[in-house]
Amino acid sequence: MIFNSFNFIILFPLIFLLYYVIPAKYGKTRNIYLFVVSYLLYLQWKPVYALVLLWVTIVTYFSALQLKTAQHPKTALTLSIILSLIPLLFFKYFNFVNDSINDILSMVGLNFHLQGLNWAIPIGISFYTFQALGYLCDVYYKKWEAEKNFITYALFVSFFPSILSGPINKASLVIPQLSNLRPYFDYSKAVGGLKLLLWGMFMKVVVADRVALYVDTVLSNYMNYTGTSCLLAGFLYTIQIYADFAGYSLMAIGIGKVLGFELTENFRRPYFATSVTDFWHRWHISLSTWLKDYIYIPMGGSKCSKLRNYWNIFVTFLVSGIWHGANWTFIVWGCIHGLCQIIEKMLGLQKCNYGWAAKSIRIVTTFIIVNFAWIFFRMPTLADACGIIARIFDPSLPTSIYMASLPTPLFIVFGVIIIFLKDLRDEFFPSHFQLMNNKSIYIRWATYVLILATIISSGVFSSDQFIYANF
Amino acid sequence: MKKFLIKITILFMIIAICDFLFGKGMDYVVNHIETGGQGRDNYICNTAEEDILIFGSSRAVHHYNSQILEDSLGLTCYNCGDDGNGIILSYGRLLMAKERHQPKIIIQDVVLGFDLHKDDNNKYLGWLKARYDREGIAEIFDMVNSEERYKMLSQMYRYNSKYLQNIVVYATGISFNTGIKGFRPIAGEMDTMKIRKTYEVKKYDIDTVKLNFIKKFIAAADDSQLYFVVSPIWYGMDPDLITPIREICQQENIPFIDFSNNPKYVYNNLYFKDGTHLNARGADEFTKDLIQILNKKYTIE
Repeated sequence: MIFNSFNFIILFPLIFLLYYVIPAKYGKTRNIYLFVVSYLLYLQWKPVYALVLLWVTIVTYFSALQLKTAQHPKTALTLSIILSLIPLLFFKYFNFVNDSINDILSMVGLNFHLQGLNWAIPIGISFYTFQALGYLCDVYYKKWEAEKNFITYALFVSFFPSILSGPINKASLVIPQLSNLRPYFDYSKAVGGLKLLLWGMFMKVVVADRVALYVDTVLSNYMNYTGTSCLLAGFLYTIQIYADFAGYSLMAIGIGKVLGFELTENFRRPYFATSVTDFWHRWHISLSTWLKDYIYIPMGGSKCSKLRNYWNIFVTFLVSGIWHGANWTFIVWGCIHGLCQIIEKMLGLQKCNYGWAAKSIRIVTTFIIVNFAWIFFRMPTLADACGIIARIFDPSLPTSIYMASLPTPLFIVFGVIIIFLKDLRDEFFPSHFQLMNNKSIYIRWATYVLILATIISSGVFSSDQFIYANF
Repeated sequence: MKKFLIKITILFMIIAICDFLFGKGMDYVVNHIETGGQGRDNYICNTAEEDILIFGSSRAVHHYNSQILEDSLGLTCYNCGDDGNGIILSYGRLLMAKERHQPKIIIQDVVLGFDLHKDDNNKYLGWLKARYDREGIAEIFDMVNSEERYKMLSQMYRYNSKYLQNIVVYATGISFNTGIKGFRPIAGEMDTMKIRKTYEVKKYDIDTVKLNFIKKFIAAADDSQLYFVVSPIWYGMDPDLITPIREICQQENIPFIDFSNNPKYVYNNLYFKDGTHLNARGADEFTKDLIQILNKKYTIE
């Protein structure tokens, strides 16, 4: 159930109140309650797919317990990883592999048609599978003890704020919070959580879903629009995906905080990154940390030859592309990011120790590169992505810009400016111009009321999907 | 915990007061707008008493020349269509128009996407939100999405996304085009940029909610002469796609007039602005052709 749905907005206060009805000393009962709630919310979607979640949970739970005593831990780990990945590979990549084989066969004149699957992908499968695998690897590398309490572990995998689209939490962050007795209620944490929830909701329904109205109109039928419109839609998609995913992550973290939990930070003003490498320290932090810990470092990381290091970077981002979806567009997107980081490493551009002017140029350059790569991420096929790019650079096309009906451009401009100013403040003047954290209660409350009123009066409520929920 | 709950309650009370005041202010603003889309909506919902009412999407708005219909049939006419809308808005507007009078002729311009195919019907409720308290409108919301009745408790939500434009129009007095008796012709020639090279209607599920609205629309038309019309489409259209609506019309003995594959219009750049919208010339021509059929087939009193 997504956080901006009407059902969740009605249910969450109930979940919250019932949770705090249970006294703090009954920590296990509180965990059982959250476990039941998490599964019930997951069942709201397609009940049968809760079995997939349960499968991944059971496989990783028992595998982790066995790893300590296994005679061949590496083999046991490999087997466990394969068993855990089966649902992900089956649901997410079967059609891709199938279609690719069909294409290859038809290229050599063999026109077999292997039937694909017409099944929906279990929601959040990439997120909870990676979270569970991360835990398994931590146990294998002896960074973390295997959790003995099944409910605690199952709750770690299925915890409802983060199951849909992350953050991909590390066991070392969440399991201690679940195992130990939590304080009954942490006022400041709950207030902080509500602030994140409010801002996340603003980003999602006021900015991302509004921008989506323009982006979807143009990019879905890009052949009917000028290159300038495609360029603008591409730029706006860059804003949309940020507001959508960062908004979701803030809501997830906020809900966790309201219930007394700390979850992994997922975004840190990514469009102020000074290099693509820096971008990945700021964008989807929980995934990039996962890839670094379980792909990049086990392959040798940077403690190897330069050439090998470049290869490690490339493979890591290839995996990132594949993780995002079973489509060549995601693979190309991952490769662009990998190659850019290799180039930055070769040229020593990963760190920016220059003045304001150079830093600004670097920020703009990185934004343009990231913006360009998002085109591949957004379009359904490589041909469409290339079609958009060709259209953008086609000088023979008129330069007119498609304007949506009147309120939409106004709301888009308003939303983009607000997000830009907020991130600019957070990045460069973190202690200035505080609104939600202002010392004056009047300013704080006026900000809450204004944001809430803007959400109700200007939010788009017909959208019921997050972009990253597709992954 | 107690402090937290008290503060949350106070916050929601403040929001409720703001919401109430916002709603009162917007009610006043909206009811005093006479131009643009809102002015047109006000006229349709509060004033229109024409003999002929035309409903439908942008294809209705741009295709049916009210003046030609008036002059030819000797009846008053208003075009109540609206961009991106279909049978759901048509039904709501017809109910409100019927509060004042029973039109003699009602024309519903049919569009597959808006009147038959399954999609997110919430998007068709936009214009009706501000009219939620009018008779029969709440029932429409219930049929589309039962959650809406709770959301409609908020006045801000009722004016969601529309308030900015309304305030600007009211405050500045900017006059927007409301069309000629609701009809808004599109000037200019065919824009070939907007023609899809490969045009095929995707496979969609039939939306039973929309079919129910069609039946309710027919029932609400009551003693009026009701016509379902598919106006010209540059690409043409597979006639089988419209079968469910055609069948309802047959069952209810409602005339169904289909111009979608009329050779005079199909692939004729002269009459179109894009693949689905006639230009002003095409609209005049189509309205005249429609009147001929109406005169030939049916007796208009």
